[in-house]
Amino acid sequence: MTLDQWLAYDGSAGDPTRAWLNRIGFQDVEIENYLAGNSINWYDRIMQTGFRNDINTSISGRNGGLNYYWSIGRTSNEGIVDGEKFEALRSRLNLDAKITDWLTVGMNTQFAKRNEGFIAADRGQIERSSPWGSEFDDEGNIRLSPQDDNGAGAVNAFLGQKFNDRIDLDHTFNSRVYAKVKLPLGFSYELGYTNRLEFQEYYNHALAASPQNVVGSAVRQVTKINEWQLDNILRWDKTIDKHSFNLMFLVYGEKYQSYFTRSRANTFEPSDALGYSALELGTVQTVDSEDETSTGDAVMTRLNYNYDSRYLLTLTMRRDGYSAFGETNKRAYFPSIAGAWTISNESFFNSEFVNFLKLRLSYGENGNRDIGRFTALSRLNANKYLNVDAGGNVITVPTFDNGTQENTELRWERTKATNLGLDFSLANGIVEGSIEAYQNITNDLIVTRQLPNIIGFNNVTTNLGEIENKGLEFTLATENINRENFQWNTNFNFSLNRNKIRKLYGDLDENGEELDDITNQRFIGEATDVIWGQEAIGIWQTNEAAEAAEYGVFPGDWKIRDVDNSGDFTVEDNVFQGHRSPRFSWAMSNRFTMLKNFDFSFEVYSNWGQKRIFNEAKNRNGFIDRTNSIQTPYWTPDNPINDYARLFSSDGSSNFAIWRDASFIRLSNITVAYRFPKSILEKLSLQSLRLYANARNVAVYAPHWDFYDPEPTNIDGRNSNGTNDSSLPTPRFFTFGIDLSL
Amino acid sequence: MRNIIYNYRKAFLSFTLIVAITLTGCEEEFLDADPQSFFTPTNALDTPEGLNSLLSQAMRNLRAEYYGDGAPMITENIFSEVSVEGTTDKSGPAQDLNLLILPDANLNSANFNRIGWFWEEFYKGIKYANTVIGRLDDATFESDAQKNDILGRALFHRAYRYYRLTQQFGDIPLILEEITSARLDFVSTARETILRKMQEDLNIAVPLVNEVANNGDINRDAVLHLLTKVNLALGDFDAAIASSSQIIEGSTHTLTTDRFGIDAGNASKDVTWDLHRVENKSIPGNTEGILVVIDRLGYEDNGDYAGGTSIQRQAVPLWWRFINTPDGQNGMSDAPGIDIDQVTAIGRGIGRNRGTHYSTKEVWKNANNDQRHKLGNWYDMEDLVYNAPSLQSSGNSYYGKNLELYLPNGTPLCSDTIRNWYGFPHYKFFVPDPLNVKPAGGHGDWYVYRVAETYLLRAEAYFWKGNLGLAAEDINVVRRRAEADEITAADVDIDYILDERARELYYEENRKTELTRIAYIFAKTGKTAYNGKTYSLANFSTDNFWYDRIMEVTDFYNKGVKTIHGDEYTMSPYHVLWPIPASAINANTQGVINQNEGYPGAQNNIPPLTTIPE
Repeated sequence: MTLDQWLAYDGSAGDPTRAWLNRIGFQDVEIENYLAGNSINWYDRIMQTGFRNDINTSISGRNGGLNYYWSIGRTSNEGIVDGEKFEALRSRLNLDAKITDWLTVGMNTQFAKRNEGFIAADRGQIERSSPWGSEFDDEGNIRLSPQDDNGAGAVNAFLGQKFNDRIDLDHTFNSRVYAKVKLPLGFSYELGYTNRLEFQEYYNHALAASPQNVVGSAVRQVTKINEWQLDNILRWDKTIDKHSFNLMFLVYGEKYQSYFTRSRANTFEPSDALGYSALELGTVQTVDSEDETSTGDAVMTRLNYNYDSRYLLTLTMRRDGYSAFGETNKRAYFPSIAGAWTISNESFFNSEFVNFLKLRLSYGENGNRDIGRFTALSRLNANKYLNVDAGGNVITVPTFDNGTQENTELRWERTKATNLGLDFSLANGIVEGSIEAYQNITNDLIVTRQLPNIIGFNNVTTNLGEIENKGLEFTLATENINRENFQWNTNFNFSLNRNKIRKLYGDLDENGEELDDITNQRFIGEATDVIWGQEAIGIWQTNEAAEAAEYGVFPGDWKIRDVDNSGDFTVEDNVFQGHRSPRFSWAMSNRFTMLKNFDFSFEVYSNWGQKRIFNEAKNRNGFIDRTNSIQTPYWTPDNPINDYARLFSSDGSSNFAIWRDASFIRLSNITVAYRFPKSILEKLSLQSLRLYANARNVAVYAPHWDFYDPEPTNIDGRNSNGTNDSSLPTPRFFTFGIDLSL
Repeated sequence: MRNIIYNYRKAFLSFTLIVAITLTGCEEEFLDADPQSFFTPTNALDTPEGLNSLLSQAMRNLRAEYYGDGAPMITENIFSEVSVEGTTDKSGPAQDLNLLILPDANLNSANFNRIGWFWEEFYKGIKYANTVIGRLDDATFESDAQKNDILGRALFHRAYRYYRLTQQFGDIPLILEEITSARLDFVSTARETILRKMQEDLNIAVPLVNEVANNGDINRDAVLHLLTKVNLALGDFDAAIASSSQIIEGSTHTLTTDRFGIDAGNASKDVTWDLHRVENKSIPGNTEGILVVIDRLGYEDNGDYAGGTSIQRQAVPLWWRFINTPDGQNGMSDAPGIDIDQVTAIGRGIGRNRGTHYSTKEVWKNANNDQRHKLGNWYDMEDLVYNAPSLQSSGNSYYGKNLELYLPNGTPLCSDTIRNWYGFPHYKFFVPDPLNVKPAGGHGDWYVYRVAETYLLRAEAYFWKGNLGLAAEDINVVRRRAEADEITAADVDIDYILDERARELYYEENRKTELTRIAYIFAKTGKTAYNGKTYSLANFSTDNFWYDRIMEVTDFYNKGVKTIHGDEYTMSPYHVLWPIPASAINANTQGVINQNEGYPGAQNNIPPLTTIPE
């Protein structure tokens, strides 16, 4: 083919490079930058090395019967994205006054202020903004879209930062006052009152000056949360010979109240220069508010009986109440019993090697009330609709959407936990540990049940049959080396859990077998986190084109298991494909102390066997022909891989997700520290001085996961439920610190 | 020191006293935390206001079909002759219907189709109506008239949904009461049985509903208009003529024939333009709108549809890319505020609702003076100009010239003529969108029923009765207003009625619903269609007028047309009825909801109910 033939294909003329770029969809600005040799590395432009600093100071002491502690701390943390930051100020005051032999009163008060009013650059633009785009126009104004294609999601990463004015503050005051009274005959009484007051404020002004906005808009949003808890505890301690009794009686009450107000305005006149400070200048104004209250109470009795430090028995009965449950089921009783036998205290037990051995067995029932405050009720979601009257005037009319069914029967979720444990200490404490096995049967699990969509209700919160959890936990602490100038300690723990749905709602099929709940993906005999769906088993290759065509797809598309060989994909083709949560987890930490003053430690942990969605392997995230993209491997006839599809792959008639094993082992922490010796401290008039350096998230080994972190995180902390944004990178933290006591 | 201790004690003593009082005071009701910021059915649905609020919610629900990104009504268009899915750069949009339209597929997404939206949201509308009907006796009304009006409007809302669902899905579960438990034992009821019940309900509703209501709500003529459709669907043509005549001969709603409204003084415009200005749809001078849904700028979270119509984004072609000048340079730009600012004039379309050759060319042959197709009201691509600033700055001679599709040697200058190149009725799509930098079609009212359709429905009823003269006259009423040439009785057949509906009601009517209704009439009556075929209910899903009509007039389905992404437009006769979403069938474990023939799962069907259990 000649150049002229190539150009004539679509009537192009002139500069062939320009024609080529136009043909593959470059915008004019991209073509100009390409030809001029300009480009932007958006990763470098948007990502940064963030500095975090944290300073804490505290004083504590005792004066007569008065103990006091006061601390103050300030945190200022930058994130890894330009502009990402948060600041916090915290202070705590604890007072404990022993007034007489029989009376102690005290107070713990905490104040904290968090400032999150910082706006980060849009990190997602690394994956969308074109390297041949322009950040500014010829006059130096910031452009709406680097490549003039905001429709494809390519928006200037810095617009939010530059054209928003924000206050985002959270103030909390927590205070607990208490009194402890010693009474005659072994009785004692404690009364505590805790109050939490929180103010959340969010003010934002999105400026009309932004190329993204036509009008300015602003919001003021304030939430006040007030919560109190009151507990009365009466205790009786008595020891008669080798029998010791400890009886406790608790009466508890709590109340939560929150008040939310939000005012918004847009289209300001004469201008939006005053932003959220003058919402009344907005021609469109909206207000909304939401208040919530919940209450809870508890009464509990507990008896501890100990015979000769050999036999222990604990009996507990509690009654819990919570306002969110159905009218008739707000309160429930939860008994428990626990026994322990310290074998090593028996007279017949004579072992030099085993220093401590204790066998524990317990059975207890406990409740879960983790539901929204009003989920038992049918909520009439109120909104507005518009009418126009005979005079042509617009009027708003109220609307009610009865969106959920009520459940007046909603009751406490109840778990019956049976626990068998063994604690041991061997060879003078060189090896210590415990082994624990448990079985938890949960009845009346609180779940959101999707309903058949024809009844017009999406879901109802209800109690679901029976779920069994069983598991094994194992912890071991060893003192590997203990010399004068070198100590090495290891802690190791391992856990595994298996769960299984044993009963659902009690709906039976014609054979009397209980029915699975396909809609909610709950299956009798399977785990609650089981993955069930159409299964991607590889990529159609070139020599399978005819077979692929029967499913309406092409070589390079995902091949889906056609379980019933029907040629189409229905619920009959769904298969179980593993689990969302780890099949087992372990963690290990090692600590070395050298030459008395050097500490070195590292921690490793692992979650193994969980799967996560990895639809990136479909190779069609966003507009890959119009925006930048994260390059993943992709199938071509010359690169016939089996784990990533062709670009712009087709799902055919299937409805599937790609699941990938996200097992990993992470070297999560390395710390080096130096403690100054006494001799130097005395010269400096210091009590203690410690310097340390620490690195977090040092390395990850994930053999089957080739993308961002296998365990998604964000700057505020780790979240491993698997539902988070899979493309959030985990920062690596390096810390240098000084601990100093005067 | 002693003194201090004393003070401590005093503080402590008064503190315990307060606590003790608090505890004993609330023991009984302590756990009753009533909702403060929302109502519940028990405390708010026992008043006329509460019931009206449910009916206004039913209106919001009805409105949503016509608004937003991937508006559900587009799915009605692409399952007919007037449009196809035009987003050609990916798999998923409903183009290869044989492949994609399945019970287990994604049936509710802007990027796929909205079949599932109709299923779910229409059943929600039925729930609102059933809740009102069932709780009517709990409330105390100011008057019988008030109670009647509420009942009548509730009956309308239920019938509106069942009329639509039975044309979309055929036999479906009939629910006539509020369901307050997790019921799993539904069965399907025959389409005709449901329609009979709705006809009965609407006949009850006609005298109950107020003659005049606010725009945005249900009035008596809206009930009559729906009743006309149900009468036609049942083959009760005399009843259809009677119910439509009651509107036409009444004085509440008349065809608007004189200039009015916001642009009335602009001599370059005409009454067709005036009729479709969103500013004009609910003003006192507009007598044509029978049922209008309301959405206005300035009512953000206060009654509006968030984001507005988005109609230009949906239905205007993607004209701003992949169109070259005849000398081979990029021709187009969607930047606002440039010297030739076309994006502000016609909006930034993405060509999702791609008008077919049939609706954009074929029906406009011999348009002559037809206002509905004249320049300014209608745009063909050749009416747009090359406007890229790069042409301006390089001094290209094509800057500002009208677009051309081909070079003299036949080389196309547009690489995707499906998505980027087709004509469109600007007079309907122009909805000002001052809140968007690149307009997408903003807030504005929308016609659901207007008198022009009433005339065309009566014309259809006259046609079925064989009264072609009266049919032609009703069609001519609509054509005269648009200054189109009049027709004679000899011109009237279903082909012509469908063409006239496409001209007058494009992007307004529920095209798939109406075309299926007509296909059912052919099958039920056995009348010979203009294509020479007769049809029967017995094999409706394998041989029907709906499929034959689309195959006859459109140039996409089953013609080997492929998108640039490689997906082929296909369709089969069984698509006349949409698949029942598998989720409904799977969740209904103690009964059988029938699947439509042609889709997997139909082998489990049982005969539908043909009576309504008491």
